[in-house]
Formats: sequence, structure tokens, C-alpha cells
Amino acid sequence: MRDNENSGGMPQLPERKPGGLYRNVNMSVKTANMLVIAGIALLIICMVFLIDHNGFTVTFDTNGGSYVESVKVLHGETIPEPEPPVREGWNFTGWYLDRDCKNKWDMQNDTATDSFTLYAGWEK
Amino acid sequence: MSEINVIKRKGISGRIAEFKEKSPSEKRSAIADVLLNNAMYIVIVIAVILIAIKVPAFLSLSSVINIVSLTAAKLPIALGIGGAIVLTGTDISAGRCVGLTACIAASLLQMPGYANKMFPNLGVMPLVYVLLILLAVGALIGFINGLFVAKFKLHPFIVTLSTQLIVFGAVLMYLMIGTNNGQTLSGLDASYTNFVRGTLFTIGGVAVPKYVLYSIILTAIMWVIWNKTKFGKNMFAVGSNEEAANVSGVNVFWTIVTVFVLAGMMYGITGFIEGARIASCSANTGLNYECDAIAACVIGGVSFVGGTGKISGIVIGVLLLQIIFVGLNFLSVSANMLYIIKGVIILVACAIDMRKYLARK
Repeated sequence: MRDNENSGGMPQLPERKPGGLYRNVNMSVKTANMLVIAGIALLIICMVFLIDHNGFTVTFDTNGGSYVESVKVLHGETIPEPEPPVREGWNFTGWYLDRDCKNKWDMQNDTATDSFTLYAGWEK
Repeated sequence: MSEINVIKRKGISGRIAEFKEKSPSEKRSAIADVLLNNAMYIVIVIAVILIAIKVPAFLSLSSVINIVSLTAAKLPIALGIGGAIVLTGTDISAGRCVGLTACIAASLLQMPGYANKMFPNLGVMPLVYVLLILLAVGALIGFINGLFVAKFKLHPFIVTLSTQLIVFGAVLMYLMIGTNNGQTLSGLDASYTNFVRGTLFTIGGVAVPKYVLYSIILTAIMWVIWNKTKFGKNMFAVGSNEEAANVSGVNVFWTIVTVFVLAGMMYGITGFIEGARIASCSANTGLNYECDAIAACVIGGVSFVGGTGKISGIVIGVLLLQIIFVGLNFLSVSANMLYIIKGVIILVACAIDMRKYLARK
């Protein structure tokens, strides 16, 4: 199993140095300090950027009806009801959380907690 | 190692006394050390305070219980990956493995008479059987991972990357069985959802789900395995220096295989919990779960140097991550955007981990 036993006399140094994932890292502690500080700064910038550009996007999939523009809402808000889409020969029955139109979205009471897509329901 | 133990025994008062004896420049570097090593915790704590000021609902009882439940749901998978990281490896097949086991659980435990049942003639299976099947599936995937890592000395990144893809293929094939045609699995039997999502107890009218208890039990089991068994000691020995462990009589092969098998079983249990928790399983279930778990482990001080890590650290890591994610959700940051934060967190946590290693060296 072990390759380094064939030398006979003195046992050779183990092949794998300790240090795991960082065993080949060759930098001073100072550089590492700068790296940590830069990383933390990047993390803060990312968070500030995302919080600044917040809002959940609600997309409307009309399942073959006319185009409905997506809207942006904040956490815990209800979705402003869009103009109902039109589709020739079909009647619009409302917005649903799934493509199979089983879970209806209540525009008055349901509130957004993440980005998601609403699907249009149709009946002949 | 003995030096660390001496510092531990001194306690906080001892450390303060030692700190006072230092010269001003030494004091400054000691403070910088503490600040840099704990930079991630400091940033997260400040962020949480700011979020709580801006959105007071973040600290409401229902929100806190939500955070605890999410932590409980994500904990077992992190406990599994933690072992692989102690061995200086990792496991990126975890998420897909959870997806496969969740889909198997959901398909076997659909309610009788449900229109889109995957196995229409199957009655309600006892939960124990399903759990055993999931444990076996998880253990098998873990065994394959461990076998290739231990026997052929392949890097765990490559081995688990390939098993990740194979398992994903298996999920897609599994979902095509019968008349299911790749659809989402839902309509779960009440016995299953009650067992996982049922109310453990209520605090102030907010229900705490049962899977929180299961997660606590799993954490306790893993704590005993890591700290009180011969296998746990061997795992840390192999992680810190494989050659030295081998020379001192540790069976390196079986230690590595067992770590991965144990991790696989943890994914199986996570799949069992996750199937009922999200109640509709598809091929996307479990996607990128391993990212959260790896980030949590590294934040919690399970070092990629190998041979160091604590169960309590993993729990804290998972909890901190969930706190920050729920907090950002309250600020209307979309879950899709959180991937950027997750990526940066892993990078920064690794940089801090590396800095600790360099400073010690």
C-alpha cells in the first residue's frame, strides 16, 4: 500500500505534508490578513448592493394568453393585481402558484416572501 | 495540541491576565488576531442587529422559530459533510443525494387513492421501512464515494462531483417510472407529514415542528461518534496526518469509507425530513444544499487543514447562515440573489480558515 517503504534503510518523509487543503499555500500572514479584510469588504459591499436593489420579482406566465409584465414587491406585501390577460376562446379564471392550476393565489390576502411565478388559469 | 489544551484550561480570566502582561505592540497584534479570526461572526452579528432595527418583525417569535426550524432542517447534511471536511476533503454529492432520497421517500409514501400516485398498487408503507431504504441508499452512495477516495486516492472533489452527476441522472430516471413522467411528487400520506412536520409543542401559539427534535437527536448521536468513539478519534487522526495515522496503526481505508457512509446516511435522513417538509419533490429538490452545508462547516471552524472541527461549531455555523439568510429575506432580497452572498461567504470563511493556519505555522 505504501510507496515509500522500498528505500530499505531510513524511512522517507511522509509524502503528504500536514496542512490539508492549504499545504501548498505559500504566503505571509500579512498577505492573508489583507485577503481576509478584502473578503470582508467584498461581503459587506455585496450585502449593501443586494439590500439596495431589493424586491421580489413576481413573474406572470399566461399559459398562452397575452403578455403580462412582471412586478416587483417587498417582503410581506400583497401583489398589485395586473390587468387580466386575454386569450381567444378562453375565459381567465385567476392566477395560480403551479402550472396545473391547483393552488390559487389570493391577490387580496396572500403576501410575497420570495420571487416566484404565477400561472394564468383558463377555462373554455 | 498540548498548547491548545493549556490555553483552554486557563479560561477567560487567565487569558485576560496574560493579555495584560503583554507589551503595547503585542497587545495590538493580539487584538487584530481576534478581530480577523472572528471577522465573519462580527459581520453577521452587526448585519443581524441592523436588520432587526430596520425590520422589527425579524425578531418576532414566529420568525425566530422559523430560523430554528430551518436550522434543524439543514443541520443533518452539514453534520455529514463536516466529517468529510475533517478529512481535508469535501462532499459535493450531498445535495443531489438528498434530492434522490427525498424523491424515493415521497414516491413510497403517497396517500392511497391519490390521482397521480407513482406506484398505484402500493399501500401505505410503514415509515421505518422507508427510512431504512433511504439509509441504505444514502449509505451506498457514501460507500462508493469513500471507496474511490480511500482505495484509489482520488480527490474527493472529483469523486463526489461524478457521483453528484450520476445521482442526478438516477433522480431523473426514477421520476420517469410508471406514469409519473418526470412530474413533481406530492399528495403525501398524513402519517408521513405528521411524523415530520407535526407539532412537537407550541410556544405562544407558534408550532415547533417535530423534525427539530430529530435534528437534536442526530446532533447528539454525531457528537458521541465524533468525541467518544474510537472511530471518531481515528477520523481526526487521519484528517490531521494520514501517513502518521497509518503508521500508528489506524485503518485509514475503513476510517475514510466509514466517514463517507455515515455522511451518506445523514443525507438519507435529510431526504426523509426534506420530502415531508417541502411536500412536493422534484428533480430540483436538494439542489445546492451542499453549498450551505460546506459554508456552515467552514464558518463553524471545521478547518480544511484537516483534523479540527467540533459539532458545536457546525451547529453555530448552520444557525448563523440561516439567521443571515432569513434576515436578508426580510429585507426583500430574493433567494436567487443569496447565491452571491453564499459564494462570497464560503470564500471569506476559507480565507479566515487559511489565515488561522498560516498564523499558527
